[in-house]
Amino acid sequence: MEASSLTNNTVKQNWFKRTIKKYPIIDFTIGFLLLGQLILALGTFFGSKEVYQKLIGINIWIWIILLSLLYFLQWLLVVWIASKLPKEKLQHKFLKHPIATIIFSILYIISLPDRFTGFNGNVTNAFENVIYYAMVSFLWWLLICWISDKIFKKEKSPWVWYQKMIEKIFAFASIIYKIILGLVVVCMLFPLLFILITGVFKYSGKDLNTLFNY
Amino acid sequence: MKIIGRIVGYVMWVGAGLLMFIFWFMAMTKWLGFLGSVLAIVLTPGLVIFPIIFWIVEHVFPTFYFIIFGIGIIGAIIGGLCSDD
Repeated sequence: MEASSLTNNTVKQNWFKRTIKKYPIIDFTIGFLLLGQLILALGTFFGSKEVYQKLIGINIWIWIILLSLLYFLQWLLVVWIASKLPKEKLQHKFLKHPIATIIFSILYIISLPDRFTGFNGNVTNAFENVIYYAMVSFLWWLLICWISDKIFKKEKSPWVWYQKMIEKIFAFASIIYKIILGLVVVCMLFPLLFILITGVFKYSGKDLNTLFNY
Repeated sequence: MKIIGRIVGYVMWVGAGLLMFIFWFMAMTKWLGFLGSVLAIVLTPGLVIFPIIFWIVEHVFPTFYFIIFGIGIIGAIIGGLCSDD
C-alpha cells in the first residue's frame, strides 16, 4: 500500500516536472503574467494602502494566494489543451476548417484595437488581455470545429492559398510570439530595474533637470 | 526558450545604449550647440571621460547615465547567459 502510494507520488511528480519541461513557453508566459500581477499588487499595497483597499480590498496574502491559484489553474488548462492538440493535429484542424478559421481570425483582428485601450501604457496588462481573448477565441473556434465535425463528415481538400498561408503561419508564429513576448518582458523589466536602482541609490533626477533646463 | 532571453538581453542592451546616447547628445548640444550635435554623432562618449566631464562642467554627478549603463550590463548578462556559445 505504502509502496503503491510512493509510486503514485513519483508518477505525479514526474508528470508535473515533465509537463513543465515540455511546454517552456507556456510556463514562461503564465509565470511572467503572474509575476506582473504580483508586482502590481505588492506595488499598490506598499505604495498606498488606501488605493489598495479601494482597488482590491482583501488581505494581501489572500490576494497573492488567489492569484497564484488562478494562474496555476490557467496553466493546467492551457497545458491540457496543448497536450491534446500537438502541432500536427492542430495544423490539420486548421486546414480542415478554413471558413471557421478565417471568420474567427477576422473577428479577433478587428477586436484587437479595443483590447489595447484603457491600459494607460501598461504593456503587460494589454498583452495579458490580448492573450486572454486569443485563448477565449481559440476555445470558441474549437467548439465550432467540433460541431462542424459532427455535421460534415466528409473531408474536403483545402484551398491551395489557404494551405500555404497556414503552413507559413505555423512556421513563423512561434518565433513571432517569442519576439513579442521578449519585448513585453523588456517593457516590464526595464522600468522595474530603473525604479529598483533609483530606490537603492536615492536618485533625485538632478542631473536630468540640469541637462534639460537650459 | 533561450531565444526569449537573448531578445530580452539584446533589447535591454540596445535600449540602454540608445538612452545613453540621447544623454550624451543632449549634453554635447547644450555645451557646444550645433557643433556639439555633430560631434556627439561623430565621437564616442568614452565611458570614463564623458561622465567626469559632465560632473566637472555641470557640478552634478550623472547618476542617470550610470543607472542606464547598469541596466544595459544586466541586459548583456541575460543575453550572454542565454547565448548558445
